[in-house]
Order: sequence, then structure tokens, then C-alpha cells
Amino acid sequence: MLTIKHLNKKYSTIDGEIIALDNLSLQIKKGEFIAIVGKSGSGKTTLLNMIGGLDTPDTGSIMLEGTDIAKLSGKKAALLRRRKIGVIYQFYNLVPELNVSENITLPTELDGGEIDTGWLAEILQMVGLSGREQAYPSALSGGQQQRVAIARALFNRPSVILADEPTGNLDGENSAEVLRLLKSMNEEHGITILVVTHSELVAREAKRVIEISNGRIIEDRRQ
Amino acid sequence: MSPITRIALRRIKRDLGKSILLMVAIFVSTLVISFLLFLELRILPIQEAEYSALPFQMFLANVRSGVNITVVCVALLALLTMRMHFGVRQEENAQTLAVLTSVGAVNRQIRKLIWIDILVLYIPSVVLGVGVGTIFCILIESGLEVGKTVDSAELMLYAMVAIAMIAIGIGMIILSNLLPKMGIKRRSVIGSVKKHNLKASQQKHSYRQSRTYREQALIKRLAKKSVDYHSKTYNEIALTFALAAMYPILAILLFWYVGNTNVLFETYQQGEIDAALSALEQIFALLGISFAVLTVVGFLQAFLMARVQFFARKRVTQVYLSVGMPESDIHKMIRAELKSVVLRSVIILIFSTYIINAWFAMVMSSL
Repeated sequence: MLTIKHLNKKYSTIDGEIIALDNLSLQIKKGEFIAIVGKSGSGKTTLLNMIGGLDTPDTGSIMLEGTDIAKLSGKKAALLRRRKIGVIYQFYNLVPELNVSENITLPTELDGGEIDTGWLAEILQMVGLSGREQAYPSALSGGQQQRVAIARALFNRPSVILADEPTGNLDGENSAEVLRLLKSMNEEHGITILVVTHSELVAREAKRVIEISNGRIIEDRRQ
Repeated sequence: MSPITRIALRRIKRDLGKSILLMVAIFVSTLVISFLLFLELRILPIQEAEYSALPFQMFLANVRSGVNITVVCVALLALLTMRMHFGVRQEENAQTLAVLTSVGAVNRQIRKLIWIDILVLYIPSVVLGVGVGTIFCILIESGLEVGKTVDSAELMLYAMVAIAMIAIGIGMIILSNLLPKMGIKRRSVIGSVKKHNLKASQQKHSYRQSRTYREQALIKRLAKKSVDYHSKTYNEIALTFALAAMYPILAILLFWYVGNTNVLFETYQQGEIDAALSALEQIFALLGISFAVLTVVGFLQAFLMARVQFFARKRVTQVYLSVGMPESDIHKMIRAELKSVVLRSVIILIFSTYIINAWFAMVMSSL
């Protein structure tokens, strides 16, 4: 489903050149729940950016269902993100001017698609936000905002969800809830999940754990 | 309605008050600049050779120099006010644009959002501000009854001031609105959205690491860290406060250096020069009102900026609460940050006053 081959990325900084990804190759099957772990600066987020088409590699390829993301133009990458990829951030990053429903349906609306109200109601129910459709992000707690972000990532029925430390800013209870939702998306909807995390809890629950160090995979274990 | 239009409309509704304030600031600045340049036009003929023997030539030379310095200062203050206004939106926009990009908005949609902001919110504030300022100046000048109608040279002058103000304003608007998009291109989208939120985790970590320290020292240290982290925003708030306070200081300096005009008017009213002197007197009275309006508008702008920052800080305080900092300590920390901003304002104000005062003194002594 997702095949990454010989991915390389270097960044130039005032302290010199940093190798973010070093000839990284990876094969991911549909429906996997993968935790990507590693120290800060090891290249985890860079890898996630590349898969999401938010950054381009220096060399290498990222094939998602037959499309090489690395070779896509900005516009085509954006279209791919709308239709096939959901993104969840550590700090929710909802659009403050849009209410809960509008934030959730944003990728579909950007695509000019019809809003499936039944699916929206189902998702709201799933993330426990029924009745809060009209609330704006500023009126929600951190945990609720993260659940909106998860619902947004799920709404366009993506093939893959990329989550960048989704529990990093949440307390234990909300972290467990977010993890439950990610697992449910994976098990009930068959969505491939890639989570960059420092959380042992998330890593323990994943079906596969990939450890990255200095831009290379140093461990890839299934559990 | 497309989500981009919906976002744009809600942003317009939210920022309308700020744009009206900006419009008032531009209106009064244009009025003051046009007034002062009109005054110069009136003084020029009186300084010609045929009047060289008149005793108030020195006074008129003082007025001209004072007016020139004031025009430059007001123009700079107006530019800085515009820069502050648009600058505040830059970081805010960067995050919204990055989030939209990450959920699949294409360049065309991002550009649409930016241009709706520019065309509906910003350009009208600048154009209306400059336009109304110019019209008011012409109306006031006609009402001064100086014995002559507004001539073509004056109209040309007003047109040039208006065109310059609009051109600079629009240039700043476009730069301020397009920079965030360029910023997103330079760093990754995830980096862009993260940048705004890292402070929360950094401060949380800092508080956890520092629990063993004395409470008071810790609060001060956290406040300092926050001020350092938000230095750009805090500096802008401090600068806006200082700019607002600069207007009365500028007025005082101008009146101080050009001398006591009333005495001169009473002593030297002579024939055809009366009209120009009368205009000068009335313009000086109007300058007082204009500077007062600019001060109030400036403080209101600073207040709005401080309010935005206050709510941003309030959101971050959730992080402190989550690691057990009592609310009273959070308030102390925010008060310490505020003190630092006030101190910065005072330093900027003293420094600017010193520079402008030295400039006035240097020019006047060279006459």
C-alpha cells in the first residue's frame, strides 16, 4: 500500500548540514497500525511530512497506492492529502474561524464534495462530540479539540492517517481516549495509521513499532 | 458557500474593529501631514526677498524646520502603525494557512483567502483613511478663510501625499499578507503549525524542572522566558504603546521649538501676511486636536493587540494549571510580563524623545 524507497533528505543550517533521512526504505501494508519512535531530531516528523506530501525528499520515492508522492506537484499533493491522507497534530490545529462541524468537513468542502450528514453524525458520535457541532475551537478543551482533529482526519475516509504525537499535549485520560479512537479507526475502518510518538502507551498498542535514529531505521518489530 | 469564503468572512467580521481603528489612524495622519505641508506652502511666499526685512523671518524659519521634522516623524509613526497592524496578523495567518495546506487546500484557495482579506479588509481602510483625510484637509483649509481658494499647487500637494500614503500602505499590506505564505514554503507545514505551539511544551517542561526553586524567583524566571519567547509580539505591543505616547511628545516638542505663536501673531500682524499667520494659528490649534486623536487611536490599537496577546497567554495557562501551578502564581507571572512590556515602552519612548529632541535642537541651532 505504501512503499518508501531510498529516501534521503538533508537540511542546511547555520551549524552545517543535517541528515534528516538517510537512505530510508520501508514497506507498509494496508490496515497496519505503526508507531514510529525515536529521539527528538531523529527524522520521525520529516518522514511523516514526506508521506503527507508536505515536504519533498532530495532523492527516493514514496509510492502510495500507485502514486509517487515525492514527484507530485504542490497542487496534486494537496489533492492527495484531501482525498487519501488524514493528518493529526500534537496541538490540534483547528481553524479557529470554523465550528466543530465545519472543521471536520473542511477537507471534503475544499474538494467541492457533498457533505454526508449521516457520516458526520456518526463520526461526531464516535468522538463523543454530538451536540457540540456548533461550538468553536476556543470553547473546547484540549481533549475535545484533539477529538475534532481526529474526526477531521477521518471524515474523508482516508487510506492513511498520519499522527504527529497526537497524545503529546494531553493528560492520561484524554490520551487513552485518543488512542482508543485511533485503534477503532484502524480496526473498524481498516485505515492505515502511522503515529509518531514518544508515548510508551501508544507504542505498546501499535501492531508494529519502527525506531528511527539519525534518519535510519534501527529497529522494525511487529508485536 | 465555500469554506474559504466562510473563513474569510468570519475573519473580516472579527477584524473589522481593528481595521476601523487603522482607518482612523491613517485618516488623522494624512490630515496632519497635509495640513503641515499646506502650512509650508503658505509660509514660502512670506519668506521671499520682499519681506526679508520683517522681524519674524527667524520665527518663520523655525516654523518651517519644525514642520519638516514633524512631517517626517508623523509619516514614520504612520508607517510604523501600519506595520504593527499588519505585522500582528502575519504569525496568525501563517498558522491558519499552514493548517489549511495540511488538510489539502491548494494554492489557488490559499491565495483566494489572502486576497479577500487584502481587498475587503485592508485596502479599503487605507484608501478610505487617506481619502477622507485629504477631503477633510481641503474642507478645513477652505473654511480657514485665508483669502484665497484652494489652488492647483495645493491640490497637487494633497494628491501627492495621498498617492504616497496609499502606495506605501498597499505595499505593506501585500508584503505582510504574502510573507506568511512564503514562510510556509521555506519551512515545512508541520513546522509552521508546530512553531506556535512549542512554547506550551517548553514552558511546561521548564516549570516541572524548576519546582524545587523558590516560588518568586521561579515565577519571574518563567515570566522572563515567556517575554523572551514572545519577544516579537511583546516588542510590538511596547512599540505601539510608545508610538501612541509619542504624538503628544511630538506636539510639545514642535510647540516648544517654534516658540509662542500667540505673541507673534499679536505683535506682527501686517497686511497681506495676516491671512497666512491666521492659517498658521488655526492649524496649530487643529494640530493639538489631531495629535490627541492619534494618541487615543494609538492607545486603542495597543490595547487591542495586548488583548489578543492576553487571550493567547490565557490559553497557554492551561498548561501551567495542568502541572499544578496555582492560579495566583499564573496571575503574578502575567503581571511580571506586563511590567516588562511597560518598561520596554518607556525605554523606547525615552530613546525616541531624545533622538527627536536632538534633531529639533540641531536643526534649530543651525538656522
